[in-house]
Amino acid sequence: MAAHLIPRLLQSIAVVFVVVSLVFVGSRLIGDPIEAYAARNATEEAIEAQRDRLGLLDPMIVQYGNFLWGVLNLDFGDSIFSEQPAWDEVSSRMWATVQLSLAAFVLILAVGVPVGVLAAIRRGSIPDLIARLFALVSQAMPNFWLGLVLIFIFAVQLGWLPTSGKGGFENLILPAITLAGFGMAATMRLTRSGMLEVLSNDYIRTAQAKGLAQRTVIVRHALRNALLGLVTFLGITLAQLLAGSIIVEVVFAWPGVGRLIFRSISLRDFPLIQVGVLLIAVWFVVINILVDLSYNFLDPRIRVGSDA
Amino acid sequence: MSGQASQTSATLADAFGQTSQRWRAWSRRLPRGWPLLCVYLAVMGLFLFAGIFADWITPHDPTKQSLVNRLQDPVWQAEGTSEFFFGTDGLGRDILSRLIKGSQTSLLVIVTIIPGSLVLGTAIGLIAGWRRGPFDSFAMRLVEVQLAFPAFLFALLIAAMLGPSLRNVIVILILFLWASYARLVRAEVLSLREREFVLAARTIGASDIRLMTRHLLPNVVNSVVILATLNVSIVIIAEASLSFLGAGAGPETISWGKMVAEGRDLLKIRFWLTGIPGITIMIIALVGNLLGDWLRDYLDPQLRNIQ
Repeated sequence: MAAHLIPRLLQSIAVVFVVVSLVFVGSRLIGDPIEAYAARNATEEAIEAQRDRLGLLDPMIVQYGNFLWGVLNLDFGDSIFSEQPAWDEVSSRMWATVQLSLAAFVLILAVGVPVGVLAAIRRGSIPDLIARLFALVSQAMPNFWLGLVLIFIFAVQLGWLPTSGKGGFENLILPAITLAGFGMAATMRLTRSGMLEVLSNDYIRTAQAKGLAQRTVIVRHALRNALLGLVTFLGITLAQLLAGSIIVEVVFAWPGVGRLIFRSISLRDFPLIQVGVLLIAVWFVVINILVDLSYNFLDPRIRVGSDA
Repeated sequence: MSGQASQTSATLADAFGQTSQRWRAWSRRLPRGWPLLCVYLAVMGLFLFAGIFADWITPHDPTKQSLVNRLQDPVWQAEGTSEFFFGTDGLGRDILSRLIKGSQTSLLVIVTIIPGSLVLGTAIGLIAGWRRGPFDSFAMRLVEVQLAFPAFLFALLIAAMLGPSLRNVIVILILFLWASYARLVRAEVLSLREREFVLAARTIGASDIRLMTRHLLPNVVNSVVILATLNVSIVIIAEASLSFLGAGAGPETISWGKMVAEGRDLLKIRFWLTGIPGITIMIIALVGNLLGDWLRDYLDPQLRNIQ
């Protein structure tokens, strides 16, 4: 286990390092932020002083070194726009994004898995057909458009829910459904096909033959095995939710990290972009390691580390 | 008289029976689910037609602004006219023409990204699976890293750095989508290389290049084509999403995603401004997925693990 874990961790650190470097290079390519903020009548000296203050006049290699040192100390400098520490700006919005992602993830689990199981055990029935149709449609729906459709129906026409912003629970409903849409459909499809595969096994017939309740057979014997194949997918989904929340946060004016990154990119606010992207990258890497580890616990048959 | 009539009807029934038999024999040769397939192909055909001939078939100039014609109602509203079938937007531009011109953008993205990522991924997968060794481990590490990377975020970042342009979107998506082809092809080559025809080809002295292109490649084409078809929806939605955020198509390019974004401000009173391009994106993505599913069932019913 440890033998497998160490290269995995090293690899993850390498991924984070590459992302950090890309972000550094990227944010220096966006353009000169001072030009975007400086008043039209600012003197050349004032602009130079401002550049000097932000360390933009140092050679690139020095800037890069400073940047890496800062990353290690969670010091990313101040946001150019708000002049608050970038780390504080991002971390204060982290909770809103985590909240949204978790709500969407709960929806994916609570809807995708049971519907998939139901569709599999009642294969060919009307509920199965409806579920599959629903899955097909939501997999073809871009989530920015799904969000706008939901806003139009439930906020504009019916007036049941607020159009955007953050407030109570009712503000969370539409963004969470929007963010969960694709994942719900995919989870449902995967659960259904996984269950169908498992249900055709001999041990299911044996379990039924020895008179176990249908419920027990489905939940204890079939679902547990079907879920195993789903873990990787759910892991990737959880990681994607955080990145996917950029669009949803923009559509619903949700005050999270995604919207902050989006705004910072158009404002060329380097430090904020760096922290935001770095957080999402770390989140991705952590989830991937957790998914790998979860195999060891879920399925003793899998010997992780054997190169297949 | 009556005998003649019954004779005529008998020959008629006979003739009918023959044609229906012939029809049945002929239709048996058609692939399963062909009526639906015709529908999918018709939709895709329309999309292709609109994309290729966009410059000739738009009823109006899609970029021409006109204050007089701004916010015309579509034809199904009381005040709509057939001159502007889907109405006009806030700048007086014809929605139908923009929709047709926008299909050109989607088509362009598909015909560049899909072959690009397919060729790159298949080549890497073939070499990695056949030669193994350090190239294989390196390529597979790269695939792992790619698949565990927030691609969308990266695309957004690049677009912000270099300015929104379709060329950047195309390059970025190719650099992300090749990984799934490489993984698929490598896995298939790993099992193919143990087969006897490969051994036979090697025994008579086939070179590596010949083995890969003449013997291995034809055997992986099916799965690669299926994956490519299923990727159509991914590419369309990715381009639309980036354009929606202003990080996709450049300012001069008309894109469905951008049309949705432009109609957003008028969502409350004119839903169709976002609805029409949105539904179009959805239909093309849906048909792409259905076509992929159909192809998978047709080419290889056992191949259910793609995607």
